[in-house]
Amino acid sequence: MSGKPDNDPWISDARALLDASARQLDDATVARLARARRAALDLPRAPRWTARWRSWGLPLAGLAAACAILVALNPGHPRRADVGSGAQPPVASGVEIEAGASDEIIDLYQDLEFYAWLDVREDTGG
Amino acid sequence: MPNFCVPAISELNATALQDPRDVNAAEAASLDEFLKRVERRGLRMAEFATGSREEALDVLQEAMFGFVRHYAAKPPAEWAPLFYRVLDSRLNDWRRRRRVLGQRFTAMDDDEGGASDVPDPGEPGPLLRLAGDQAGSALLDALARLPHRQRQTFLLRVWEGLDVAATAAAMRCSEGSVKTHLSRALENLRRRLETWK
Repeated sequence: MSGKPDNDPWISDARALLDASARQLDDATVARLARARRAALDLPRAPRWTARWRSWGLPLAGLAAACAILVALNPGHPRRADVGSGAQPPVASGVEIEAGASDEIIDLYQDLEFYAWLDVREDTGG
Repeated sequence: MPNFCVPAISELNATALQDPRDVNAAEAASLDEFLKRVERRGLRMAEFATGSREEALDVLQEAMFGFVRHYAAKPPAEWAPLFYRVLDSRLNDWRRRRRVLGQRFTAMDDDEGGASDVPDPGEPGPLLRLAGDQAGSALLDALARLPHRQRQTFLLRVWEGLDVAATAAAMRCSEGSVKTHLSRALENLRRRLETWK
Protein backbone atom coordinates (compact mmCIF):
# COMPACT_ATOMS: atom_id res chain seq x y z
CA MET A 1 0.00 0.00 0.00
CA SER A 2 1.25 3.43 -0.88
CA GLY A 3 -0.07 5.08 2.26
CA LYS A 4 -2.46 7.16 0.19
CA PRO A 5 -6.06 6.72 1.36
CA ASP A 6 -8.28 4.72 -0.93
CA ASN A 7 -10.83 6.44 -3.08
CA ASP A 8 -13.74 4.43 -1.71
CA PRO A 9 -16.93 6.49 -1.67
CA TRP A 10 -17.30 5.94 2.06
CA ILE A 11 -14.01 7.73 2.67
CA SER A 12 -15.33 10.99 1.25
CA ASP A 13 -18.57 10.34 3.18
CA ALA A 14 -16.52 9.89 6.31
CA ARG A 15 -14.70 13.15 5.66
CA ALA A 16 -17.98 15.02 5.13
CA LEU A 17 -19.50 13.50 8.22
CA LEU A 18 -16.50 14.38 10.35
CA ASP A 19 -16.52 17.94 8.99
CA ALA A 20 -20.20 18.24 9.85
CA SER A 21 -19.63 16.90 13.34
CA ALA A 22 -16.85 19.43 13.87
CA ARG A 23 -19.17 22.27 12.78
CA GLN A 24 -22.06 21.17 14.99
CA LEU A 25 -20.80 22.22 18.39
CA ASP A 26 -23.02 23.74 21.06
CA ASP A 27 -22.46 27.32 22.20
CA ALA A 28 -20.96 26.31 25.54
CA THR A 29 -18.30 24.19 23.83
CA VAL A 30 -17.51 26.92 21.31
CA ALA A 31 -17.13 29.44 24.15
CA ARG A 32 -14.87 27.07 26.07
CA LEU A 33 -12.71 26.55 22.97
CA ALA A 34 -12.39 30.31 22.54
CA ARG A 35 -11.37 30.74 26.18
CA ALA A 36 -8.77 27.98 25.88
CA ARG A 37 -7.39 29.56 22.70
CA ARG A 38 -7.13 33.02 24.27
CA ALA A 39 -5.45 31.59 27.37
CA ALA A 40 -2.96 29.75 25.17
CA LEU A 41 -2.20 32.89 23.17
CA ASP A 42 -1.52 34.81 26.38
CA LEU A 43 1.20 32.37 27.42
CA PRO A 44 4.85 33.44 27.14
CA ARG A 45 6.32 32.03 23.94
CA ALA A 46 9.84 30.86 23.24
CA PRO A 47 11.75 33.51 21.22
CA ARG A 48 12.65 32.75 17.62
CA TRP A 49 16.39 32.30 18.31
CA THR A 50 15.47 29.53 20.74
CA ALA A 51 13.46 27.83 18.02
CA ARG A 52 16.37 28.18 15.60
CA TRP A 53 18.76 26.74 18.18
CA ARG A 54 16.35 23.88 18.77
CA SER A 55 15.96 23.30 15.05
CA TRP A 56 19.61 23.35 14.12
CA GLY A 57 21.81 23.57 17.20
CA LEU A 58 20.54 20.55 19.07
CA PRO A 59 20.56 18.15 16.09
CA LEU A 60 24.02 19.39 15.07
CA ALA A 61 25.34 19.04 18.61
CA GLY A 62 23.78 15.59 18.74
CA LEU A 63 25.30 14.62 15.43
CA ALA A 64 28.71 15.83 16.59
CA ALA A 65 28.36 13.82 19.81
CA ALA A 66 27.26 10.75 17.85
CA CYS A 67 30.29 11.08 15.54
CA ALA A 68 32.59 11.44 18.55
CA ILE A 69 31.12 8.29 20.11
CA LEU A 70 31.46 6.36 16.84
CA VAL A 71 35.10 7.42 16.45
CA ALA A 72 35.86 6.56 20.08
CA LEU A 73 34.28 3.12 19.78
CA ASN A 74 35.62 2.24 16.33
CA PRO A 75 37.67 -0.93 17.00
CA GLY A 76 39.37 -0.96 13.60
CA HIS A 77 40.98 2.45 14.08
CA PRO A 78 44.49 2.11 15.63
CA ARG A 79 45.33 4.51 18.43
CA ARG A 80 48.24 6.88 17.91
CA ALA A 81 50.22 5.28 20.76
CA ASP A 82 49.95 1.86 19.09
CA VAL A 83 51.28 2.95 15.72
CA GLY A 84 54.88 1.87 15.24
CA SER A 85 55.18 0.51 18.75
CA GLY A 86 54.83 -3.08 17.64
CA ALA A 87 51.63 -3.50 19.60
CA GLN A 88 49.01 -5.76 18.07
CA PRO A 89 45.96 -3.97 16.67
CA PRO A 90 42.84 -4.59 18.73
CA VAL A 91 41.09 -7.69 17.43
CA ALA A 92 37.79 -7.66 19.27
CA SER A 93 36.73 -4.93 21.62
CA GLY A 94 33.39 -6.46 22.51
CA VAL A 95 31.58 -3.43 21.07
CA GLU A 96 29.94 -3.86 17.71
CA ILE A 97 28.06 -1.16 15.85
CA GLU A 98 25.51 -2.36 13.38
CA ALA A 99 25.20 -0.80 9.97
CA GLY A 100 21.86 0.93 10.79
CA ALA A 101 22.88 2.20 14.21
CA SER A 102 24.03 5.65 13.10
CA ASP A 103 20.61 6.49 11.66
CA GLU A 104 18.97 5.54 14.93
CA ILE A 105 21.37 7.71 16.85
CA ILE A 106 20.67 10.62 14.53
CA ASP A 107 16.91 10.07 14.91
CA LEU A 108 17.32 9.98 18.67
CA TYR A 109 19.14 13.27 18.73
CA GLN A 110 16.61 14.82 16.39
CA ASP A 111 14.01 13.95 19.00
CA LEU A 112 16.00 15.59 21.79
CA GLU A 113 13.85 18.69 21.67
CA PHE A 114 10.74 16.67 22.30
CA TYR A 115 12.29 14.65 25.12
CA ALA A 116 13.65 17.83 26.71
CA TRP A 117 10.16 19.31 26.61
CA LEU A 118 8.72 16.16 28.19
CA ASP A 119 11.34 16.31 30.97
CA VAL A 120 10.58 19.93 31.72
CA ARG A 121 6.86 19.25 31.74
CA GLU A 122 7.25 16.26 34.07
CA ASP A 123 9.56 18.22 36.37
CA THR A 124 7.07 21.02 36.65
CA GLY A 125 4.21 18.58 37.02
CA GLY A 126 2.43 20.28 34.08
CA MET B 1 26.76 55.62 -13.79
CA PRO B 2 26.56 52.54 -11.57
CA ASN B 3 23.15 51.13 -11.06
CA PHE B 4 22.72 50.92 -7.31
CA CYS B 5 20.08 48.57 -6.06
CA VAL B 6 17.94 50.65 -3.74
CA PRO B 7 15.22 48.85 -1.85
CA ALA B 8 11.75 50.20 -2.36
CA ILE B 9 10.11 52.06 0.52
CA SER B 10 7.48 49.34 0.76
CA GLU B 11 10.22 46.72 1.25
CA LEU B 12 11.79 48.78 3.99
CA ASN B 13 8.44 49.13 5.66
CA ALA B 14 7.98 45.40 5.43
CA THR B 15 11.27 44.50 7.05
CA ALA B 16 13.70 46.80 8.79
CA LEU B 17 11.30 49.55 9.74
CA GLN B 18 8.58 47.24 10.93
CA ASP B 19 7.50 47.88 14.48
CA PRO B 20 8.23 44.81 16.66
CA ARG B 21 4.78 45.21 18.18
CA ASP B 22 3.29 44.82 14.69
CA VAL B 23 5.34 41.67 14.17
CA ASN B 24 4.10 40.26 17.47
CA ALA B 25 0.54 41.20 16.63
CA ALA B 26 0.83 39.57 13.20
CA GLU B 27 2.31 36.44 14.74
CA ALA B 28 -0.45 36.30 17.36
CA ALA B 29 -3.10 36.73 14.67
CA SER B 30 -1.56 33.99 12.58
CA LEU B 31 -1.36 31.69 15.60
CA ASP B 32 -4.96 32.50 16.50
CA GLU B 33 -6.07 31.60 12.96
CA PHE B 34 -4.17 28.33 13.11
CA LEU B 35 -5.65 27.34 16.47
CA LYS B 36 -9.14 28.21 15.24
CA ARG B 37 -8.56 25.94 12.26
CA VAL B 38 -7.40 22.92 14.26
CA GLU B 39 -9.28 23.22 17.55
CA ARG B 40 -12.52 21.57 16.44
CA ARG B 41 -10.79 18.68 14.74
CA GLY B 42 -8.53 18.33 17.73
CA LEU B 43 -11.58 18.26 19.99
CA ARG B 44 -13.20 15.51 17.92
CA MET B 45 -9.99 13.46 17.95
CA ALA B 46 -9.76 13.84 21.72
CA GLU B 47 -13.44 12.91 22.06
CA PHE B 48 -12.92 9.73 20.08
CA ALA B 49 -10.01 8.82 22.36
CA THR B 50 -11.59 9.75 25.71
CA GLY B 51 -15.27 9.16 25.04
CA SER B 52 -16.05 12.34 26.99
CA ARG B 53 -16.54 15.96 25.92
CA GLU B 54 -15.20 17.36 29.20
CA GLU B 55 -12.10 15.18 29.19
CA ALA B 56 -11.54 16.04 25.54
CA LEU B 57 -11.73 19.78 26.26
CA ASP B 58 -9.19 19.43 29.07
CA VAL B 59 -6.79 17.42 26.93
CA LEU B 60 -7.17 19.85 24.01
CA GLN B 61 -6.48 22.85 26.24
CA GLU B 62 -3.32 21.21 27.57
CA ALA B 63 -2.27 20.50 23.99
CA MET B 64 -2.84 24.13 22.98
CA PHE B 65 -0.77 25.33 25.93
CA GLY B 66 2.07 22.92 25.17
CA PHE B 67 2.05 23.80 21.48
CA VAL B 68 2.06 27.59 22.00
CA ARG B 69 4.68 27.48 24.74
CA HIS B 70 7.14 25.33 22.84
CA TYR B 71 6.44 25.48 19.13
CA ALA B 72 4.82 28.83 18.34
CA ALA B 73 8.14 30.23 17.11
CA LYS B 74 8.47 27.46 14.52
CA PRO B 75 7.59 28.25 10.90
CA PRO B 76 3.81 28.11 10.37
CA ALA B 77 4.24 25.36 7.77
CA GLU B 78 5.41 23.06 10.58
CA TRP B 79 2.61 23.92 12.99
CA ALA B 80 0.04 21.28 12.04
CA PRO B 81 2.18 18.16 12.62
CA LEU B 82 3.65 19.72 15.76
CA PHE B 83 0.22 20.54 17.17
CA TYR B 84 -1.04 17.03 16.53
CA ARG B 85 2.17 15.64 17.97
CA VAL B 86 1.55 17.50 21.23
CA LEU B 87 -2.11 16.44 21.19
CA ASP B 88 -1.11 12.82 20.63
CA SER B 89 1.33 13.05 23.51
CA ARG B 90 -1.36 14.48 25.81
CA LEU B 91 -3.78 11.75 24.75
CA ASN B 92 -1.16 9.13 25.58
CA ASP B 93 -0.70 10.79 28.99
CA TRP B 94 -4.45 10.71 29.48
CA ARG B 95 -4.60 7.01 28.57
CA ARG B 96 -1.73 6.24 30.94
CA ARG B 97 -3.39 8.15 33.81
CA ARG B 98 -6.69 6.47 33.03
CA ARG B 99 -5.08 3.05 33.14
CA VAL B 100 -3.57 3.78 36.57
CA LEU B 101 -6.86 5.24 37.82
CA GLY B 102 -8.71 2.25 36.39
CA GLN B 103 -6.45 -0.07 38.35
CA ARG B 104 -7.02 1.96 41.53
CA PHE B 105 -10.77 2.02 40.96
CA THR B 106 -10.77 -1.71 40.34
CA ALA B 107 -8.96 -2.21 43.63
CA MET B 108 -11.47 0.09 45.37
CA ASP B 109 -14.35 -1.75 43.74
CA ASP B 110 -12.98 -4.99 45.12
CA ASP B 111 -12.76 -3.47 48.58
CA GLU B 112 -15.92 -1.40 48.69
CA GLY B 113 -18.11 -2.79 45.97
CA GLY B 114 -18.62 0.75 44.51
CA ALA B 115 -18.92 1.62 40.83
CA SER B 116 -16.14 3.39 38.91
CA ASP B 117 -16.98 6.55 36.97
CA VAL B 118 -14.08 6.08 34.56
CA PRO B 119 -15.43 6.44 30.99
CA ASP B 120 -15.06 3.34 28.90
CA PRO B 121 -12.70 4.22 26.01
CA GLY B 122 -14.62 1.69 23.89
CA GLU B 123 -17.85 3.61 24.40
CA PRO B 124 -18.72 5.42 21.15
CA GLY B 125 -19.15 8.75 22.96
CA PRO B 126 -21.04 11.95 22.14
CA LEU B 127 -20.24 11.97 18.42
CA LEU B 128 -22.87 9.32 17.85
CA ARG B 129 -25.59 11.63 19.08
CA LEU B 130 -24.84 14.03 16.23
CA ALA B 131 -25.24 11.48 13.45
CA GLY B 132 -28.57 11.78 11.74
CA ASP B 133 -28.75 8.49 9.87
CA GLN B 134 -27.76 4.90 10.36
CA ALA B 135 -24.82 5.03 7.99
CA GLY B 136 -23.39 7.99 9.80
CA SER B 137 -23.88 6.29 13.14
CA ALA B 138 -22.25 3.14 11.85
CA LEU B 139 -19.26 5.06 10.56
CA LEU B 140 -18.74 7.03 13.77
CA ASP B 141 -19.24 3.91 15.85
CA ALA B 142 -16.70 2.03 13.76
CA LEU B 143 -14.23 4.90 14.10
CA ALA B 144 -14.70 5.08 17.86
CA ARG B 145 -14.01 1.36 18.19
CA LEU B 146 -10.77 1.40 16.22
CA PRO B 147 -7.51 0.99 18.15
CA HIS B 148 -6.12 4.41 19.09
CA ARG B 149 -3.12 4.38 16.71
CA GLN B 150 -5.19 3.22 13.74
CA ARG B 151 -7.85 5.84 14.42
CA GLN B 152 -5.30 8.65 14.82
CA THR B 153 -3.62 7.65 11.56
CA PHE B 154 -6.96 7.59 9.76
CA LEU B 155 -8.00 10.98 11.15
CA LEU B 156 -4.67 12.67 10.45
CA ARG B 157 -4.25 11.25 6.94
CA VAL B 158 -7.84 11.19 5.69
CA TRP B 159 -9.49 14.01 7.63
CA GLU B 160 -6.71 16.47 8.40
CA GLY B 161 -4.98 15.66 5.11
CA LEU B 162 -1.44 15.38 6.47
CA ASP B 163 0.97 13.51 4.22
CA VAL B 164 2.72 10.33 5.35
CA ALA B 165 5.84 12.13 6.60
CA ALA B 166 3.87 14.73 8.59
CA THR B 167 1.63 12.02 10.05
CA ALA B 168 4.72 10.03 11.08
CA ALA B 169 6.16 13.16 12.73
CA ALA B 170 2.88 13.83 14.53
CA MET B 171 2.64 10.27 15.80
CA ARG B 172 6.36 9.80 16.46
CA CYS B 173 6.58 6.65 14.39
CA SER B 174 8.08 5.60 11.07
CA GLU B 175 6.43 6.27 7.72
CA GLY B 176 6.11 2.50 7.30
CA SER B 177 4.12 2.32 10.53
CA VAL B 178 1.80 5.06 9.27
CA LYS B 179 1.10 3.05 6.11
CA THR B 180 0.51 -0.11 8.13
CA HIS B 181 -1.82 1.63 10.63
CA LEU B 182 -3.78 3.28 7.82
CA SER B 183 -4.11 0.05 5.87
CA ARG B 184 -5.42 -1.76 8.96
CA ALA B 185 -7.73 1.11 9.85
CA LEU B 186 -9.27 1.11 6.37
CA GLU B 187 -9.64 -2.67 6.44
CA ASN B 188 -11.26 -2.61 9.90
CA LEU B 189 -13.62 0.20 8.99
CA ARG B 190 -14.62 -1.43 5.72
CA ARG B 191 -15.30 -4.74 7.47
CA ARG B 192 -17.36 -3.12 10.22
CA LEU B 193 -19.40 -1.10 7.72
CA GLU B 194 -20.11 -4.17 5.60
CA THR B 195 -21.20 -6.06 8.70
CA TRP B 196 -23.58 -3.17 9.42
CA LYS B 197 -25.22 -3.60 6.00
